[in-house]
Amino acid sequence: MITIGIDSGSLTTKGVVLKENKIQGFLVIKTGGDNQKSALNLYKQLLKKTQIQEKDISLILATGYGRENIPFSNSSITEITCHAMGMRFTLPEVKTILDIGGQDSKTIHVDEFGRSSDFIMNDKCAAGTGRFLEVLANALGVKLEQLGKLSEQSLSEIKISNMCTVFAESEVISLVAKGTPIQDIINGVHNAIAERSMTLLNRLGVSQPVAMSGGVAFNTGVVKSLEKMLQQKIFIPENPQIIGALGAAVIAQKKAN
Amino acid sequence: MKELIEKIIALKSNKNSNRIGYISSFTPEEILYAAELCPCLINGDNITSYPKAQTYLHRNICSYILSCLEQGFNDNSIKGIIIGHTCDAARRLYDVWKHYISTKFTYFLDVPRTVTPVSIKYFENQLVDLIASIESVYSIKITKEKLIAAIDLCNASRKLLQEFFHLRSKYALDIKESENIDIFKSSVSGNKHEFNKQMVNLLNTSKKLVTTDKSNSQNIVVCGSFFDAREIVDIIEKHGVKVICEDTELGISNFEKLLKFDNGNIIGSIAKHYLNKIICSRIINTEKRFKHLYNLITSYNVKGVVYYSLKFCDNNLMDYAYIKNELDKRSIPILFIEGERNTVNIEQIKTRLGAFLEGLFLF
Repeated sequence: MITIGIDSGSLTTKGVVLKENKIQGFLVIKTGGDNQKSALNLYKQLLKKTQIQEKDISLILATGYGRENIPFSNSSITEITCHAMGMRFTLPEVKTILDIGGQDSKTIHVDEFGRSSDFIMNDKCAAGTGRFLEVLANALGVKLEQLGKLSEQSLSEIKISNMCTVFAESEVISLVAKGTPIQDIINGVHNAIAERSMTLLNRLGVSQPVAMSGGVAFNTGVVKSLEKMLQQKIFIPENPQIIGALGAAVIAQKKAN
Repeated sequence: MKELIEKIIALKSNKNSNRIGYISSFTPEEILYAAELCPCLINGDNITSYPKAQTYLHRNICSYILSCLEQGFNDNSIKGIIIGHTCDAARRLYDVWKHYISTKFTYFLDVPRTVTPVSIKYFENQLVDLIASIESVYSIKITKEKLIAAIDLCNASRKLLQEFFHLRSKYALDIKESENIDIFKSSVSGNKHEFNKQMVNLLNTSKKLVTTDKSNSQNIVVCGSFFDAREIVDIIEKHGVKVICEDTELGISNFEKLLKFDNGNIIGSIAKHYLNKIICSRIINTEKRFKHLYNLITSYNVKGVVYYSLKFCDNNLMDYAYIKNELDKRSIPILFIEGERNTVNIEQIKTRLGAFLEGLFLF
């Protein structure tokens, strides 16, 4: 049985093809201004990549903010439910997920069946999300992919005091103007994100082990800051960005069965 | 049946000339009916923005109060208003209304925060003062006989609403929860005689149409601040889940008990009935409020609770911590949603609600 999960996010659209509960292929593309178009684009690329025929697909489930705007999907499910199921599929022992996406962040408790037993979302404010990193990387003139490595070279702790992405950007520019080493600034930014995430984690409560999902999990600097504050290791799945889409595909397998 | 429902819902747009508005369901409608007025619960229905209200009230006041004030500015048919002292925001509402909206009768009704023999007596005295003011302004005498007749009228509504609730909780009826909330609003729109008449028709028709015993329906309860958000109940129903009732300002507490009165002290009986209504977190007895909620949960096979708190409603925010704790002890899932009167953050709410309901019922 072949199922597809599509996670239509604010910055990226992700897709996973599952056959008899084995990943056949996955893709991540930029969403752009038209999530329906990007979802369809992703779908066609996925079929090509995995050499699967459309007629062989049993079910397509959509998730993410754009989930209800994907007409070729059979059904939609919230990303919270999908992240819980996707993480259970990948790292079955994980009990708490921290997902930091493009524009929101959430913590989720996962039970032994892969269900979300409790959750807290922050989707009112971009601070502490991928958008925060994007804006600040831009202000510093570095690529997102470089942030992790650069923060490892930090020699002094500095604090980014502003909670708001817009004001934090101004603060970063001021630090640059004062001659603060860019590595220290980036490390400060990572700590700021970790602090925001800790608020979410503490409000929900942390059951170990903890894992991260979402694109920000690729940033080793943020992960290190979080591990330091949490005082425990954080597990990162091989492809943290596709956990939502994977969960959707897994749920589709269950539904189709 | 749809036609009957629409006919009842249309009653909430009543603009009777004898209309007297009231804010807070601690205000006894019986006294107002006895004064031959048309009491109408002011709730800012269909108000989506508050440009005038926000000119006069500060920003961190709950949107329910803002919408009531906005309605006050826009609705010329409100000739009199009684504002119950339910919270500090209501107190501010009274201040502004008194100075900037010209209604013939603007009255501030103090409501105690505890329910004891002393506070019930105090509330009785407040109601005696209210009666005296109404009699003076409206040149009318509120007699014992008129009060008894008004009690009978209001109790008749309560009985009908009770019966309808029991029918809905037991069977599948072709009615949306948003329509059910509107039916209640119609019952408090100053047209009880007509409402009662139409409800009898609706009940008779409904009884003939029920076919399935829905005692195995997937049920949740909504509790918290003032709640009438159609979009939210629509989302819940779209997931195939039933909102069995609301334990809120417009909810079941308004009709689950009939007003029983002592012929020797009718005002005292009214005071006792209204103070004992379990509605608002402003009454200092969260344990009692929780017991009421828990009783609904166990009586109607409720699988989860949606706690809806209007932003800046501090009383409800404080209560939530206690209620969540008690529900956690009993392994009953609860979802906290903070929103505005006109659900501007509906997309965010949709995700949270969806995830909560999926967690309860998907697998």
